[in-house]
Amino acid sequence: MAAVEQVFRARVSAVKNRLAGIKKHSRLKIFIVWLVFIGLISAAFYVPYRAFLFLESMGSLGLVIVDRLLYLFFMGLFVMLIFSNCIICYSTGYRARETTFFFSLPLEYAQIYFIKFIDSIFLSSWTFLCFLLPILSAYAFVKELEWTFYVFLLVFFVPFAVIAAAIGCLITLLLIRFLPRRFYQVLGWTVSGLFFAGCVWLFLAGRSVSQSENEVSFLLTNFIPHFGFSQFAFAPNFWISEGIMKFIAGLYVESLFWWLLLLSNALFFSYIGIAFARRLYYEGWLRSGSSGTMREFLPQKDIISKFCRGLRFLPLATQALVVKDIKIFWRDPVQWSQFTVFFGLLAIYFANIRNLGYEQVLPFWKNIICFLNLSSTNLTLASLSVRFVFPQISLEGKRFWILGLAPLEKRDILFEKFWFNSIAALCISLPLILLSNSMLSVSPELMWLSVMVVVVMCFSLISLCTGLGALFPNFKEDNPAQIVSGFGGTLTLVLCLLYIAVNVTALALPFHLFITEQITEVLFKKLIVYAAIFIVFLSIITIGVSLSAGTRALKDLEM
Amino acid sequence: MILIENLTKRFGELVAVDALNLEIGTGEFFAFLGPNAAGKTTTIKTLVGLLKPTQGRAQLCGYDIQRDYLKAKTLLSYIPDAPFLYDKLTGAEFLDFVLNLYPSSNREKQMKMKDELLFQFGLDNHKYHLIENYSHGMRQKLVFAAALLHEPKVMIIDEPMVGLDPHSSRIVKDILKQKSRQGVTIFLSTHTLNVAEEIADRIGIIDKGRLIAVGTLEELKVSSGVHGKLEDVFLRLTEEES
Repeated sequence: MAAVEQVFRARVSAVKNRLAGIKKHSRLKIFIVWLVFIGLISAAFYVPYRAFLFLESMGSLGLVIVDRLLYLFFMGLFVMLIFSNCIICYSTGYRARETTFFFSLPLEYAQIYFIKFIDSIFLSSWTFLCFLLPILSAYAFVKELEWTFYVFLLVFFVPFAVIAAAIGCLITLLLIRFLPRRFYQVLGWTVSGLFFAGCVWLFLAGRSVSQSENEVSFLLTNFIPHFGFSQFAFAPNFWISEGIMKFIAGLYVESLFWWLLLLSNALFFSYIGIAFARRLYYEGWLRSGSSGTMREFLPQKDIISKFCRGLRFLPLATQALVVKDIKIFWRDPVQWSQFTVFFGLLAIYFANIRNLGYEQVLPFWKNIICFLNLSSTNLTLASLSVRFVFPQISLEGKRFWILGLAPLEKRDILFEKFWFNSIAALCISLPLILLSNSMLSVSPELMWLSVMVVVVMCFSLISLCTGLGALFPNFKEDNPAQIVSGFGGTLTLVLCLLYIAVNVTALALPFHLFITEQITEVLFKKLIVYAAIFIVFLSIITIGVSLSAGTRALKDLEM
Repeated sequence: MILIENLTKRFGELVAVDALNLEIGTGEFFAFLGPNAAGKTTTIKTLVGLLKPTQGRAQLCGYDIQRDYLKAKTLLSYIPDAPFLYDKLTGAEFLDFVLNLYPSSNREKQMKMKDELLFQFGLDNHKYHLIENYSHGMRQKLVFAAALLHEPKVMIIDEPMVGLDPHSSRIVKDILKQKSRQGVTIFLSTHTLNVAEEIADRIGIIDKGRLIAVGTLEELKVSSGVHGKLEDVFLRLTEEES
């Protein structure tokens, strides 16, 4: 184990050097990063805090919902942690150059797997922990719990995260060893197929919505039963939720039981992973190294080449850039499988609106749900834009000599990315919002308004990501996730969130005032027109400023 | 064809290229030599417009690379030392992509030329495979093919022989000689001194950002007082500097 210890010592030194390197950055930059971080953490605390307070105010029904939400929260967290570990284990355990180096050293395969497993635990769980703490702090504040709760929470989270990492790494280990060589193509198509099937199933499934006399009976008959699936007694999310609730109730021995159950399972799954790694890791690594497809992409047979022929109306240089971007995206399942997961989850939720019978709720709730849907569509779009559009200029990086040498205006390169991504984003978010609004049976005014907002926001969010992507390029990294996690990516995400918050508030406020009978219908209509003008105005400024700043930065860019 | 006047490039305190003056004529084959970190790649990147000069200017075919960059780049080809390409495109798609980025009066001729170049470089059997499956040498050959497609008047090449097998090296040298005879100006930076010795009309040696010697091989031998191979001349001149 001396070699493994050396690897972790090197890791610690690298972290120390990285922390020491922070001093080299400007104070303003460090200040902004901290400000953004604190702002996000505060938002992650405040929003659930208000929600928990609201639920508490509903009395016993609210308490039931709060408890059920805890199960649901940990279930979502568990699924996301497994998914995140699958991707991290694949990229660090199979694709990283460091792994090749480790395989050349006199190390047991299980030792290399162990190093990668520990890496995966840390890399996957730290961001989740950053958001888990404020959300559960909000819960603790509402329940008026003592500080020991936080220590207890961390103690519970460790085996929970280890189980997720062990399962995620084990899935990757088995998939890479036994699935066809084109692992990611298979995975991408499987994930997309599952989401599509899920949406169709939810859409076609028989409605089990009962007519309800009031909100309480609506929630009891239509809403609460849907939480049942998150309370499966053999799932780690159930164990951690039970453990926390028993702790809150002062049942410490029972709480210890659930922690020991988590711990024993964490050790069991870790052991299973290491045992499998002894036999499968090296074989899988060899397969992944030779997984490049020697398939021929004949222009007359390749579907995407045929599709791109439809773009011949574009000027030649623009056509070349668009076709290149489409082909690169389409042929990289890592990119579009993540894309599918984001929008697939949203599509499943929207498809489920019909089954939950939301169109039956009072207009007040209907409008709130409509604005929440609008926000969630835009938030998903924002996170996807930051994840996929922001790094595009950086990813040209080492290949930028190709575009840099071409007789093209830099503005054309940036605008191609802007139009291409905006249209792609529109093709996904517009049908989603139309679907959700028609299922909610919203008024035609609200339908048109949300469509306008989605269109305008699509262009604005993409312009922010394109412009700031050119303003803060990172040509040292090839990994988009690393590029996004830097200063530029964080700033872009915050600006996107701010933009969405301002616009949705401007739109939601008149509706809220009208429905709560604080303003007349005439004033309401006037305010809606003003809000729409404001959104358009703000969006034009956002697009103009982002793209002109991006163009200037690209012109001054030195490779 | 290439005119460099007082070209200086600084990175903070470091002077990477120091007041470089050079004129290279039409159809001339110019080899640019220098030890590691001498300023070769910086000069080249400044020359092709990937870096901005701190001072001075560079002209290609009479066009300033900073002011008239569109015209200059239409006539220019650059082959970098590390061929980073779009891995998810096929070789043929990459060539189509590059072809479409440049204005052309005879697209049909260029399409025919594309097939000829793929054949010449031995890539025609791999043209529909993704570039991610290409070896370093295959990538380098693809970059050469892409550089020749739009029939440039000036070719700027950084370490052309890295990763090429002897057969491909010969093809590249022959093509470059042929292009030079056809009137294409070639600016080649290399550490492979026998290539420079074999095919260059003139040789320039840069060290610590300054051009320390320029001339034909014979002129360099006279100025250095060494009557051996280019390697001996190069070592003497760079030793003197250090």
